Parts: sequence; C-alpha cells; structure tokens
Amino acid sequence: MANTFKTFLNSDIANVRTLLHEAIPITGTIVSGTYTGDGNVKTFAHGMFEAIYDYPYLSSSANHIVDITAGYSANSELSAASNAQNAKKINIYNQHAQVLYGYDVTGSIQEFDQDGDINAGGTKMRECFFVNFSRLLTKDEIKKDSFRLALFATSSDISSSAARTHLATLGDYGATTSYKVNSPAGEYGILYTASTDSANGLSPQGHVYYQAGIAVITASYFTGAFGAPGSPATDTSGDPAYNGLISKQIDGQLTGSTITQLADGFRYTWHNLDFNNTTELNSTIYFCRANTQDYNYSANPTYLTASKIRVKNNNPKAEPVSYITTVGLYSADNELLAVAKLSEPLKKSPSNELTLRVRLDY
Amino acid sequence: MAFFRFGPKDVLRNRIKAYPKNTFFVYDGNVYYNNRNNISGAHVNNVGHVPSGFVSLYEMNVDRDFSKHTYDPDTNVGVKAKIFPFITKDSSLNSFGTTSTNSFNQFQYGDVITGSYPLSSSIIREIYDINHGATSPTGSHILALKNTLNDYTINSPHYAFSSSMGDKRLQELTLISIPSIFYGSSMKKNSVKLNFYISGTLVASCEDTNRNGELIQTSGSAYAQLNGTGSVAGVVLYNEGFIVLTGSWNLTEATHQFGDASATQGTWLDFAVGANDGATPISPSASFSLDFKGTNYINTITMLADAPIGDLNFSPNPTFATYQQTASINYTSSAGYFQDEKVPLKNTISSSFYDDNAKFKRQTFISKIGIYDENKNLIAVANLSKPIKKLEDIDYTFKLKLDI
Repeated sequence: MANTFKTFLNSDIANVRTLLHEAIPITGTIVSGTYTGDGNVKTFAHGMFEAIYDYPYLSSSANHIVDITAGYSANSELSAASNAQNAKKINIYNQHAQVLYGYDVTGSIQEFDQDGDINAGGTKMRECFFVNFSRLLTKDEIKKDSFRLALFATSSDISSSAARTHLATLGDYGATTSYKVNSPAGEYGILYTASTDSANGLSPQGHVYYQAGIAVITASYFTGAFGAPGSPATDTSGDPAYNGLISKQIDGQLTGSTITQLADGFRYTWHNLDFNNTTELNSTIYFCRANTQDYNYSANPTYLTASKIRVKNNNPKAEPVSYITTVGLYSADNELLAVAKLSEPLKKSPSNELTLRVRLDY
Repeated sequence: MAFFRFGPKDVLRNRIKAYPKNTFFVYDGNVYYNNRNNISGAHVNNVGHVPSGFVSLYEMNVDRDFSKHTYDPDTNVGVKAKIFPFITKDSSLNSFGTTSTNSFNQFQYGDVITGSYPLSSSIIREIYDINHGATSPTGSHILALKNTLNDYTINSPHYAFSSSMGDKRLQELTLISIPSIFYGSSMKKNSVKLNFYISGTLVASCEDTNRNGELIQTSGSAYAQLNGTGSVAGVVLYNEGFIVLTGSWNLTEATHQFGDASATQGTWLDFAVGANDGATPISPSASFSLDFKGTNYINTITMLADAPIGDLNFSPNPTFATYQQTASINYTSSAGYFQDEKVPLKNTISSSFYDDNAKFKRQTFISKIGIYDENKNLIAVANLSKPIKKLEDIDYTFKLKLDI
C-alpha cells in the first residue's frame, strides 16, 4: 500500500506507437486446388466471387484468406450484353471502383487509372481482377514495399507441365516513398513487374490498397492463354499448335467465361504471394521516478518487527531500505486505476535512484 | 447527413456473463481438449501444428509444411512457408513476450526481432512425492501457492497449506495447472468434475458439490465408494486455475501402472497421469476426464438510435436526384465548384395503378448508421441487413449492440 504519491509531470508521460508486422506467404499450393474437389475454394450461387480458405472450409480449422473476382467497366470494349454475366462483371468493377477510386465531379464512378495520376488522364484499367484479402491477414494494413505477387502471364491446361509460362513478380517496388493518396479508401501503391519498370517507362500492372487490403490486377497482364484446366472454353482458332487444348486468350475469357471461371483461371496463374502486414500498437509510457529520498520506507506490516525495521538487521546506523514490488497508477482524486508488477523486487535505498518504465498498451 | 445526439437513456451498458464448458480427456499419455483429435491435412499430419489437447492462440499456419521454411530474417534470404511475426527494435523497446531481456538487449536498434507461431497452451500435471518440500525447499509450484491456498481457508479448512489435515509441503500430492485461456476470469463453482476410468468403466468421480472448492468423491465403483465416498480428494483454486489433489485412498482393487515402474492401486493422486507430465509407463486401460466451466465477461454497449418523424428525409447520395437532369449551373474551375441549387429529386413512390406517377413524397432508404464521437470522427458503422424505408410521417428506433 502506497503512502507516498508522486504526481506525473508532462515529461514523465510519453505516447508511442509501435508497428508489429507479420510475414504472410500464400503459396500457389494453397489457392490452386490442393484439396480434393477444391474443398478450400468456396463458390456461391450468385457467382460473383470465389472465397479461398487455407483448409477445406467445412472444417472449423479453416481460415478465410482471400476472395477473388473479376469485372470490367461499362466503358470497356469487351462489355456487351451477350457476354456471360455481363451485368455482374460491370457491377463488380463499379463496386470496387467506387469504394477504391470514388467519383468524379460529375458524379460518375472513376475508373482505375493505371499510373494513379488521375488529373493527368492516361490509360485506364477497365478490365481487372480483384483480390480481396482477409482482415485476418492484412490486420491494420499491408506494409508498403512488401507486396510481391508472382503470377504466370500465360496459363493453359494443367496436364501440360509447360503450360504456365512468363512468370513475373508484381510488386509495389519503392512504394515506401511513392505511394498514392488520392483514393477514398486510403493509400495505395502501384504494381510493377520489376523495380526498374517505372524508370524504364514500362506500364504498371495494378494497384495494391494498403488499408483496404485489396489488390487490383489489370487483365492486360495476361498475355497468352488464360484459364484453369477444364472450365473455360478451349481455343477455337484452329491453330494446330494449340491442338484444341489451350484456353482462350484473356479477352475471350472475360467475355465468354463466368466470374467463377475467371477466378479459377486467376488461381491457376498464382505462383506465390508474399506480403507483410502491420498492426499498430499504441502505448503510453509512464516514467515513474523514485529519487534518492523517495520510497525508502514501507507501510507493509511485515516491514517492522518489534518496532524495528526488519531489513536493517538491528543496525540503527544502516540506511533505510525497501524492496519495490508494485507500482500503482492513480487518478487525480487518488483512485487506483492500474497496477504494474515487477518481475522481481527492486532494492531501493537513499544511495540509489530508480526510474520504472510502466507501459500501458491499448 | 444529419447528426443526432444520444440522450442519457439512449446508451445502455451491460455485461454478459458466459460459462463456456471445457472437457479434457487424458488417455495413454495424450490429452484431448473438447474431444478434438489431430486433423491431418494435405501437407502435414497435424494441420494446427499443436498436439491434441493444446489450443493455438491465433490458429495461423493451418496445414503448412514448416520443413519448407528456410527464410533467414538476418539475410532476408530463403523461402517463407509459414506466417511469423516480427518487430523492429526501436526506442519504444517493444518486443515479444517470448524474447528474454538478455536476448533483447543484444539486438541493435533497427534489428528485426522475429517470433514464431503457433503459441500454444494446455493443462499440465505435476506430481509431488512425499517430503518434496524438505528435499527441494524452494522453487516448486506448490510452495509458491502457499499464501494463495491459505487465503481460501475461509472457504474450507482443506485449503490450509499446513494443518491437522495434512502438510502440503511434505505430503504426496498432484497439482493440475489450467491456463486462463481455457477458463477466462475464473472457473465456475460447482462445475468441476473429475472422472477416473479403468477400461472405460467409471471407477470414481469427485465434484465440488458444496461450491467451496472441496472436491468430494460422489460416485464410483463399490470398492472406491467403500474407501472414499464423501471424502475430500482435493481442492480447486477457481480464480487461479489450479487443482490440488491429495486423496490417497485406493480407488482400484487391481494394480495398474500410473507412471511408476511398479504397478500400484489407483488413487486420486494418479488422476490425469500422462497429461503433459512425461510420466511413463502408463497402463493403457486408465483414462481420465476433467470437466469444468469457465467464466467469460462480455461487456456490451446498447445504443438506441432514433430516426424521428420529419427527419432523415433527404440523402446526399447522387441517385437521390433525378438522373441525367439538365443543370443550368454545374461546373468546376480553378475558382471553385458550382452546382445548381435547384435539383429535382427523384420520386421513388410507386403507384398502385398502371402507367401512373404517384404523388411525390419525401422518402429515403436507411441502409447504415454511423456512430461519431464528440469531435464528429466516425468511430463505428452499423449496416442494416436490408434498407429500411423512411417516410416523413414514420419514425424508427434502431437498436445497436456493440461487444467491447
């Protein structure tokens, strides 16, 4: 029980923020059909996205990790009423665009700008894949310049070992200093295939929205055949090199395949993903200073024996000494608010001074 | 967007008290928590990476092959095959609880300190032989509980560390430690039950029927009941998560192996043998169950948000205005943004008649409610399962509940 109260000065209290990170690898084996019947891939009757789990989703052990969907703008050259799920693909695009990119001054939904510079105009990403990561994985936000998504630009039949080619790693290279802030959903980085792409004038391949935990990949990244084995329609170009086994090009898939089939195709191109998440830990640190003349005595009943200070060993000339075990934090009206326990008692006497650093996380 | 201030009777604070049930089953050196066995996956035999009977704190890294993880954070080289936490040492001096002070001090500022998942927890059984306190006078867990046990003698004299009923410093006893992740704030009184089985047949049970922490033998075989019915086999520390077993009367006529080289008759001291105690050999016919309820407090805030008559009849949503109207003024320039002050609203009232336009009424559809602090910072959003039609002459009260 304290019998001496000391008042904190402004210099005794510090507010700090610590960033805790987790490294999150999501290998292609997780998303590309490891389990029988794609048991970790959940499709829905509405057919607007696929949900990927790290284990068959009927198990309570499974964690949801990512949703994959695709869509295009109503202004896309591919948009046509005869397309499979045309309205849904437009709705998916609009939903993401209005949340991640907002509206222009006319009240119209802004399309994704390839280089993120809206005012300068430039190329729009009108056909996109959307990868929505679970909050379990992204926590408060994705760490800038840590997002690396290795995708095959060409993929076709799984029975052919050489079917997936042109592997590149999309990343927000250098985003620590070059991220964009013109999104209503927070900050986002531009995805390139290499750190030198920007300097070399090569086109960005998408965006990663750090706080929202969403990656937007332009469909134009896929340069060759596209599609998961079996599900999308095979090529009908008559090219004997394909022998009827290879899937359509991405444009054909965007118009002729359902969103679920497109998501299947995207999963098939997924080689590896690696990013770091961030959790903000806000703390207040109270520096509790025990100066030379402070806290050298205890009100504990066991401190005295036969009216003598027990720890002085019957030596009246010995300096007073106490052992600090607990620090109590009190409000202005002396109500006990919090208690900090030391791992071991600290010896306090007039010959020493202590500063106890009490950290309160919230 | 309209703001309304909560009245003094609009915000209610409650606390829900929940009692989650826990069951540990101990058999042949294995512990099973809530009857869950290991689950095999496509990459590993145990997808949770914790033995049965353990819980994993974050339950990350499900079915990941750790043997493929070769990443070295010091060199930033290798393959990342599992999720792991890391933190950069800075002036806040934050680190992981599993990093010792000595290790932490050896890191330079800017160094990356890594942790590891899973973080797991389970019950642990410790056996204390006779005269244990004399041979090892310091450092044992049971000696550390002396003051705590004595504090509860007001509930039962059986808690006393040393009394005419026995001296826990010297007598043979078994200590079962239950981490708080399983019980929350405390174990519920009158919920603790220990069952002792031989070959699947119940030999003896003891329960805290008096709610005072005494574990009293309540049922069992005729032999066990003859020796110990109504006797106190031990005590429970509800708030601290410990069970101290001292009952040394025989429960089985036949002898079995309970962690000792020689077979002995079973007693309550042998309860839960094999529960992470490293005891061998254990008779495969012996099994044990430990049932109890925890106590969880869930604080909730209930907020009653009113949508009064005559309010909330306008929306700034662009679709609230008539589509493709011709505005006389609607442009932007370096001087500012100008919008027509008179924009015709879309009449969303449907008519019951064919090819008829119903008379205009102010009508909105409430789809979400935002909660703001006193500085008008949005701190929470409640989405409705479906939009609620709001007319001028209708009022609503939305009940929002937030677990904190």
